[in-house]
This record gives sequence, structure tokens and C-alpha cells, in this order.
Amino acid sequence: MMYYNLILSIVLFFLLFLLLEGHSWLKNSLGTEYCWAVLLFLLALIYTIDLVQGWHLMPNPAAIFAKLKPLSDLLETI
Amino acid sequence: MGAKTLSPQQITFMIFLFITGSSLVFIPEIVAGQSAWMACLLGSLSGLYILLLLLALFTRFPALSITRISELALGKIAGSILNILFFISLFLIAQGLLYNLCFLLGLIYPAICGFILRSLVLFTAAYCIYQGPAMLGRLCELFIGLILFFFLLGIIASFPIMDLSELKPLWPEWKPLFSGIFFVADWPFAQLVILAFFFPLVQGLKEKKKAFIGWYLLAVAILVFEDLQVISILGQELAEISRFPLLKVNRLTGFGEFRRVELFFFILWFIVGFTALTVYYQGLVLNLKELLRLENPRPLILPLGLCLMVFNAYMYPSDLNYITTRLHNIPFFTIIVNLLYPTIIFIAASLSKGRLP
Repeated sequence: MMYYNLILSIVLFFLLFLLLEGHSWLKNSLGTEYCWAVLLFLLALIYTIDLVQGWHLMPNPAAIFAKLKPLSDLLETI
Repeated sequence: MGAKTLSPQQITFMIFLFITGSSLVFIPEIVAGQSAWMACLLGSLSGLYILLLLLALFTRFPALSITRISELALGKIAGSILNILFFISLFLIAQGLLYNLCFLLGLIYPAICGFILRSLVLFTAAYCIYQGPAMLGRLCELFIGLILFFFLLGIIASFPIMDLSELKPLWPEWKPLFSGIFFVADWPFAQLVILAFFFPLVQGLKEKKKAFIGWYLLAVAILVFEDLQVISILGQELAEISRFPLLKVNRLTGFGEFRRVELFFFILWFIVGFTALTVYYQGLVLNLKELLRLENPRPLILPLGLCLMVFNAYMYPSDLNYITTRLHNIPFFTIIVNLLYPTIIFIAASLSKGRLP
């Protein structure tokens, strides 16, 4: 539990940093580019932690596309 | 020629390598059984349609990217929604190409962890993308001779063991044929829509229209021959249950005393598969750059590659998940987006000439 609190603290520090410093980054184009890159890295990191820990808290795109299964079944039955 | 431009010749080779590499050794139209070659031939019309549509669009607006044309012709909100859907479709296709290539590599190098294989493939592709689209064009020019040689070798080597009676009856049932046409129209032919990000980099598109179509038809002819090869050598049942039927065919072919020549052909499959993946990765980076309105796409290359790898592991934890999700469900999304996206933009651009420069 202690380690999860540590992760939570890191996330809070990072969000606070983004709130205070992110505005000045977004003013120039280079800052925007790196902001997007950092966001993509974070997204990959969050999904990796979710996968490794087996939490499955993040939305799985495969589950969204599983809704198309009736169409696939229909193609098999025609 | 600068690092950001491509010659028409490079694009023609890219079309050929992409079509042959995207289908790799996996044959989606095999569900059509003996009629797989017919399904491939009919399904190729979707690719031809996309190619002609993109050529017409970029002959009219040579300096604009498709994302920009979409926003100008459809308005900011509708254009952006369509662009996001298109990005998702491209991302799913790139994931599929990465999965297939690494699955094939995993068969050759079973002791190496899948994540390491994926990282190595993505690092190599990212290096090419860092060098700019011209590097990818030069790569296509460099590989084309070798690839044509291997295709020719494959055709010659397989002739003695082909049993054409396996292809009968020629028109057994229309239902599997329809299914085969649907899947092959999506993978690999409709995936040709990625060229929308490379056409604005080419000078003199209009003059080379015939060359583009010619090389596309050559790629289709090779895929049709591959279908004939697989069915006539393996038979319908074995071909349908094989994950990589063409690899099985290559295992059976040989030259006199030389057997187990599939590793020779592995060079062919790796090069074309890697080219197809790099083309998609590059297109994905260019698309995201336009979508986020960034000036420089370089900071997106590595994080996007990482996302491809992570989402691959997250969405397809096993091969069974991949087969059901990517090969059976996702084509219903990707084919619709890939066919409708350029069509809607073309129609909207034709109707709103005044708004476009």
C-alpha cells in the first residue's frame, strides 16, 4: 500500500508541475511538440503499468471492437 | 532531391512493396477456399479505387495534406472527427502489421522474447523515419530488385509441386467467395489509403499515373499467383488452418537436392513486411503531426512507436485474441473508414471548390 501511495504522490507532483509550468510550455511550438510526446509516453506507461499489474482499469480498445462481433458472425453465417 | 520529397519511381516501388508486404505470408482471402485467387482479384478493385481517387485528389490539390483538405472541405468539426477516425484506423492497421511481422520473426527466433523483437523492429523503423520520407523511398529502390528476384525464384521453384486439380471446382460457392472478397479488400488493398500522406511529397503525379497503376496490378498478379500456389500445393483444408500458409509452401519447395529453402524466402518476407510497417509508421507520424497541428513530426516518432508496442500487448495478449479481434472484428471498422474517408473528402472537395486554395 505504501508503494501505491508513492505512485500517487508522483502523479500528484507531476500534475501540479503541469498545472504550474505547462502554460509556459504551450506558448511556443517546441513546447507543444514535447508536451504531446510526453503525453504519449505517459499513455504508454499507464497502459503498461495496468497490464503488468493486471488491474485492467484502463479502457481496452479491443473490447470496443468486440461490439462488431455480430457483424463478423453474420458474415460467417450468410 | 530533399529529405522530404519522393520521386514518382520511389512511390511506384513503395506501392508494390507495400501491397506484397502487407499481406506478408498471411493470406486473409483463404476463407474463400479454392476461389481465394478469384476473391483476391475482385477484392483488388477496392485498392484500385482508392489509388485512382487519391491520384485525382492530389492532382487537384498537390500542395495540401489530406488532413488539411478534410478540414477545409468539411469544416473544422466534421473534418476533425473524420481525421480522428482515420487515425484510429491507421493505428489499428499499423498494430496488425507489427504483430504479424513479429509473430513471423518469433517462428524463426523462438528463444527471443516478443517484446525484444518488437522493440528491435520498431527501433529500426524509427531510424528510417528519423531520416525522412526520402530514406524510405531509397529503401524501396534498393530492395525492389532483390524482391523481384525472390518472387521469380518462388514462382519457378513451386511450379513442379503445384497440383492444379486442387483448384477445382472453380466456382464452388458464392458465400465463401464473398467473405474472401470482403477480407482481402480490407487487408491489404484498402490499406493503400496510407499513400494519402506520401502523394503530397511527390512531384509530377499526373504524368506517372500509368506507372502507379501498372505496379499495383503487378503486385495484385503476384498475390493471385500466391493464392493459386497455396491452394494447389497445400490443398484447401491445410491452407485454411495454416497461420502462414505461404511459409509452409516455401518449406515444401526446393531446387534439386536443396531442401528447407524457406529461410531464403524469409529474407523476402522480412523485407516486404518491414517496408509495409515502416510505410504505415511514417504515415501515422505524418497524420498525427497534421492532426495536432505541429510543425515538426520528430518528437512524435518514438512515443508513437512505444504506443504501438504497448497497445499491441494490451489488445492482443494472445494469438487467439489477435485472430478474433484484429482479423474478424476490426476489418468492419477499417474497411469502412478507409473507403469512405477519401470518398467523402473527394466529394466534399469537388463541391466546395471556392473554399479550397
